[in-house]
Amino acid sequence: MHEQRDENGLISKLARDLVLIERKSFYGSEPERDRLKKMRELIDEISQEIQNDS
Amino acid sequence: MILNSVTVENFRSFYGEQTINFSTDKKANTTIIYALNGVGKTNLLNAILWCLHGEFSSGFKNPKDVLNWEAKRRGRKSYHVTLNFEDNGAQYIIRRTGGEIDNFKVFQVMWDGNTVELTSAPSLFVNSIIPKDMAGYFISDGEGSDLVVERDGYISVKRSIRDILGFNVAEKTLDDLNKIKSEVRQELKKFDKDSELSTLEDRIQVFDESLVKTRVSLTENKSLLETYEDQLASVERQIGSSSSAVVDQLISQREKASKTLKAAETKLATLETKKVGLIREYSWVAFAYNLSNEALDFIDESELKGKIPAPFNLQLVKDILEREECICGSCIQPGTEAFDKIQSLIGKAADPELLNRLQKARSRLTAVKTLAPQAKERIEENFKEVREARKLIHSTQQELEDVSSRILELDDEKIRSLEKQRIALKNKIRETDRSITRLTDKIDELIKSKHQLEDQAKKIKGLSPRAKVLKAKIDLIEQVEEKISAELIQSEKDIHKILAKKIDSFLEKYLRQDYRVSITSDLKICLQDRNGKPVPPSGGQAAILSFIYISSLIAIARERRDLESTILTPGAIAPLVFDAPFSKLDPKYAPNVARELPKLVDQLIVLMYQDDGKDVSQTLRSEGKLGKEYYFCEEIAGEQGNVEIHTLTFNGKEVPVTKYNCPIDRVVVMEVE
Repeated sequence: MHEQRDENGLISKLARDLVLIERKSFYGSEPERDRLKKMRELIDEISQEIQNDS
Repeated sequence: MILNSVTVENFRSFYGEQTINFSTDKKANTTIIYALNGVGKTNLLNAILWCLHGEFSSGFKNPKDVLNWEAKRRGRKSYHVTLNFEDNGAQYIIRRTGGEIDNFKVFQVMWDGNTVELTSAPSLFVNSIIPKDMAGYFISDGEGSDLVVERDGYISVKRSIRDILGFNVAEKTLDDLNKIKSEVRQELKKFDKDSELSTLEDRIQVFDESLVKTRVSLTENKSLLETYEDQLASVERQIGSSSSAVVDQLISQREKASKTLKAAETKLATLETKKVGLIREYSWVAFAYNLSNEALDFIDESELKGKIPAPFNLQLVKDILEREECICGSCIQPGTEAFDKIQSLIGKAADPELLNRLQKARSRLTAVKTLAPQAKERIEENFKEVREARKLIHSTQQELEDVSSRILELDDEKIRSLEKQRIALKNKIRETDRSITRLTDKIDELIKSKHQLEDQAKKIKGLSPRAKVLKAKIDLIEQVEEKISAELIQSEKDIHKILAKKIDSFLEKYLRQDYRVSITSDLKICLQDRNGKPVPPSGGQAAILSFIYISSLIAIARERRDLESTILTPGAIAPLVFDAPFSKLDPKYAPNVARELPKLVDQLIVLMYQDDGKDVSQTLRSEGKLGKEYYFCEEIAGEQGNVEIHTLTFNGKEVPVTKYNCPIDRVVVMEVE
């Protein structure tokens, strides 16, 4: 469906990191409110990285 | 994880501090705690669950009223539970306080006996040992209260399987990503002056939502189909087990006709495919036939009339004129009559390239002429075979209907009723099959339309740089969503086989050959008797099914302890704490379960009433698995009156488990001597 850009495992890594942020909040070690903020920041960062590469 | 002890203080029926030291022996790994109903078994189980994760089981009544009544009367405001456990060779203490003060602390016990508090993410630490979404299966009320019984005796185990596979975190991540994606789409609208892109994005979102709904509907239909097919097989087995010779003969006729029908339907499908191939192969011949005849006639006629160049070569004529010499050696001078005659041939001489083309055209047109009869013959033969297959299907369907009518006329109420059920199920299967085809087509169509819109969205020019960044972000989020979803789908597919294997293994251990368990692709399980008839999940059968299922889950969680997946939460190895597991279990199967359960886990804690001839403790003892035994004694401040004193029997000795005229009401934990 989407252009395949996961050659370097970037999408896999992002998926893993996002789940990790969720896990920390889900299991109560981090405040719920920080979760979405951290996710947004990580997505921004990787999106920027991809655009710089291309 | 091995539980060393639990200490409850002012928690529900337990006034003051009460401690149970569990058996930590590797072989004799089972601790039994006996208690009358309503005295505190569920309270103790919930104390452990609450201490770990701050949550109670669904069966725990009045969860806001936990402080012991006597303690409250004496002015106490808080209750506490302390768990002492070992994990990976290290000792830990978890202490949770509730009531006026909420407090949760985890300590590591050092080699010298001192404790060090784990201040960084204690909840995460506890969840890494036994995740809260899995804890309810290890610390369970034993009767499968989390299993939802659906119609026709099927139990959906999808939720619990997802819990044990650790789906929850990944699913919540998907929810969050969807939220973030919506936010980005909203922001994108601001930069999209002509609303062209946002209109497309809105439409894509509609397709997305429709896809989700259609996929859910397809899964439901597939599961329904499996259920109907299972039921049909069961009904047909029941009809087949009839002792009537007439029924036998009719069933045998039906089986034969069904096979013929299936073969004819397969043949028809092959012939229809072949028909499409033949049409593709020969349609041009049919269309070109008349045209090619006309063209060949035209070529022949033109050649005759000399409209088409004569068959001598243009190059040869040019060479003769250039060399001024004929092929016979005569000299041909320009201006002579011979030279002029030869020069006039140029207008009629054939260009080799033109001749070549003409030959090709003739050969192609001749091929059409040759292929036409062959095409006619092959297509006619295919049409004839299709007609014959359809005729056979029709007559076999008639025969099957005839068999069914004759069964319905038999003087056997049970068989008639089963046949009616069979017809109804056949209709349902046909309908569901059609729905599945419709839904599959709809999904293909939706995906196609969505891709077209996505392509259009990509082509939109003139977006501001910021809008392009936002568009790229949406694209990135969707790729991550696909990545996570794909792993979840694959894990769910893989687990079907693993679960079936585990269930078979526990079925064999607990029940021998009396029952079998069927599992649908949608992860619904059903206990069936030897004839494949679903057994209603009530009473003893539900208890055994629950045991088989919970045992399978625990085994799967154990195997997934060191899982390296990055999306799913790893499994757990934890003690199995069962509340009243044997109460509804058939005495015939209880010893088998008692023999196998301690082998399944490193530590087993069973809360039960005395086993009423089910030989649970006897079996555990004879297998060398029983490490420790406790009982709860209920101390009552009031007079005994006419109430009977309850007793339990240990090693042939009766022990009272209710005492009257005590200073206060409370439950006391006693170790069996």
